[in-house]
Amino acid sequence: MKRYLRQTILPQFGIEAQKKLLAAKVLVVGAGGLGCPVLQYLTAAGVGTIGMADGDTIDLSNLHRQVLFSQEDIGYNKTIVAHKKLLLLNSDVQFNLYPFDLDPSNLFEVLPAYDVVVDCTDNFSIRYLLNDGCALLNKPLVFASIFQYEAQVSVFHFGHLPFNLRDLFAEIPNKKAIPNCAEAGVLGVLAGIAGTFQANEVIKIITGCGTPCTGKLLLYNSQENSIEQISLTKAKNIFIPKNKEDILRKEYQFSCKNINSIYHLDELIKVMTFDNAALIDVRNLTETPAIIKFQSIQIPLPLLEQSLDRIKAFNHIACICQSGIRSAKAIELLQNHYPDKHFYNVHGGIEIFK
Amino acid sequence: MNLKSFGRIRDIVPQEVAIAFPISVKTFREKLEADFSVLAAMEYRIAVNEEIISDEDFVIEENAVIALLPPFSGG
Repeated sequence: MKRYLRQTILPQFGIEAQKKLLAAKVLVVGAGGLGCPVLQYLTAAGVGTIGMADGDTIDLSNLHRQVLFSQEDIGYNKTIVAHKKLLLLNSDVQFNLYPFDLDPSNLFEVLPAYDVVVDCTDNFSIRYLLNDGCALLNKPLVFASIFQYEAQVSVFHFGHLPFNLRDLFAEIPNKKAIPNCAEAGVLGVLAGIAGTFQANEVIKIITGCGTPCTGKLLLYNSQENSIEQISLTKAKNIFIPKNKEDILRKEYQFSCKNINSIYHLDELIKVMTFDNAALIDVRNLTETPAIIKFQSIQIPLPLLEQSLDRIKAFNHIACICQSGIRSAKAIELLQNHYPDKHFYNVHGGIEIFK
Repeated sequence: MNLKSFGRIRDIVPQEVAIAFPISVKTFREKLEADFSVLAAMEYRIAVNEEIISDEDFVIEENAVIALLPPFSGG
């Protein structure tokens, strides 16, 4: 294990800690500002299995903070690009890709396989869902959030006295209260610092080496270099799910979170490998060229609403047309009927096969 | 007094406010929100001497370190 020598020679760490990392399975939800440093450092540290979930594609405005990506990656799905880059760093890691956003309909397909979950997301809907899922399944959750020059970090559902995100804020804060990076702005390095704090927490949890930030909210300010650790107190009467149904019934205020855009053929290929995936061609039957690469279901857009029984068995539905406009309409229509299915619009249409 | 504001509250509440101690968390909140009405629409927790306080009747003493902690979700 020459690769890990520098950390295995550390006092209190040793080969034992390294073995624990190698056997561990960590799910990183979000491959953006927080996710990039988390993924890089956990890969480098030798976490045996790393799952990453993100439905987003890379945008130019991401590059000031999402330092795993390159200029030529703009337009591609974050997990797919991250995977390629991380393999170059450490090809011993087993990566599991989920190139879509997690939501109540798919959470329980993904979460159970992992030992630790890292919240690198950017909205409260998914944050509360992850929190409740981890509460139910008893998985440690490494939380962090950033705003301008500040970061918050904590570890939930771990240790002798586990805390819950809802001990801090009992319900999803009202939308007016919470700006995201696009609205509020954030310094790139802040994302790096906060994400690296998270990676450190994951390593402490897995190895038992050091004190994880449980029962405390770590507050960091990059302008002042101040770090404080505020003690959390248990709140009364917070929502604690007793079973999956409690979570499936709970309102997380997701909106259009399960519609994804596909820009490149590899992404479409990946989606078509999912269980119960289908490609719906909503062009008129006379339009060419025909799609040869996949078996597609041809339902012209005007007939879509009457043909739902040809689609209802599928869970992952990609739609394609000439240019991406009709397929977007098709998805809108289908989402109204099936709000829990996952939809993928082939952006740019038939061009994707060229 | 030692009042620290985080997140968006930094731009709303200054480091010194005209409030006399001792005072209950409940009354402290009411006075702050009366002076800074924007705060009333926001959610935030109050920490006293580095501990989040759940009990609104808790009394904040002179020289306590108070922190106002709003939620944020950037990532």
